[in-house]
Amino acid sequence: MAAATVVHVDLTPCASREAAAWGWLDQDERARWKRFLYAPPRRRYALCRAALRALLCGALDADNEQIAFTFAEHGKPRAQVAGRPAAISFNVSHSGNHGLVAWAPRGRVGVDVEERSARYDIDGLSETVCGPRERADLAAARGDGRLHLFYTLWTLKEALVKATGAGLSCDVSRFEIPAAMRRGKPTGTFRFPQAPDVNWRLHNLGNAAYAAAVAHEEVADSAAAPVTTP
Amino acid sequence: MASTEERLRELVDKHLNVEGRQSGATLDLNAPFADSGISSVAAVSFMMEVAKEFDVKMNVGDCAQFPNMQSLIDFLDSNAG
Repeated sequence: MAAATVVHVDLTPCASREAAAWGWLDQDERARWKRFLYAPPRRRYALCRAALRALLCGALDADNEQIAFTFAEHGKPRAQVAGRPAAISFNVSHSGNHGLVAWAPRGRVGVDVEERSARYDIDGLSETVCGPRERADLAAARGDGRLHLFYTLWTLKEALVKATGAGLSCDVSRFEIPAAMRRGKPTGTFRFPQAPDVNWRLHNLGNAAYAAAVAHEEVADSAAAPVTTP
Repeated sequence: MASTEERLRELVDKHLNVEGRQSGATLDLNAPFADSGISSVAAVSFMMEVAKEFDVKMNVGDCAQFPNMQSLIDFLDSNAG
């Protein structure tokens, strides 16, 4: 049974780890790394990309030098080994000092992590990104519970649109996270209204340090497969 | 009256959380947003502030429509009320 695996990457500043990570990057990635305007996103990119490469090497039984990436329409990367498309799907997300890399041998996968911040206008954001039943649940939540629920919804929605490859070009206010997950259930299944034939397995991975979620497309041998978090 | 660019610069300093950038630092209008490392929450939140300030309708999908500040300025100059 094919499960999605999610790995946490420690993104706290550390010069030696960053230098080691940079050594894993290919020429294109080093050019991308250089284009970042500020040090924090540069660090997150290098550490997450190196972790992704290490995971892909293990999963695909390949050397790092054999691995390259191509990009789909909205920028979602795909792996190649020795110039051929690799039979694996993966996704990466980072926020603050936390990175997550998700991968699965079958079925599309999307992951999102966000450090929760009270600096944003949650009411305004909810109007923009949530559906009516989600807004009602947020309105009923109190204190920290409201902030946590908002970020739970956000990460689940973003994991879904990252899994499809549409990213934020998709209006995420047009679909709603299942009611049971809005009320605290950690897992659930979801279907986009416009694509009801495709089932997505959702898993809320949030903890005290961050909100996070993974979405994994159910295909023949991955249906109802659990998410493993080593 | 302040230009679109000046109003946007003020919004960036007030509302756009870009880790590593000093408030008031030079803003390269043609630098891709992606190169700033802005989070998705910060991007959508900033878009909401822009919509409010310029009285334009924008939704979350619009975040992907503007690759840099100059493209946003061009849109606002054509559409702002």
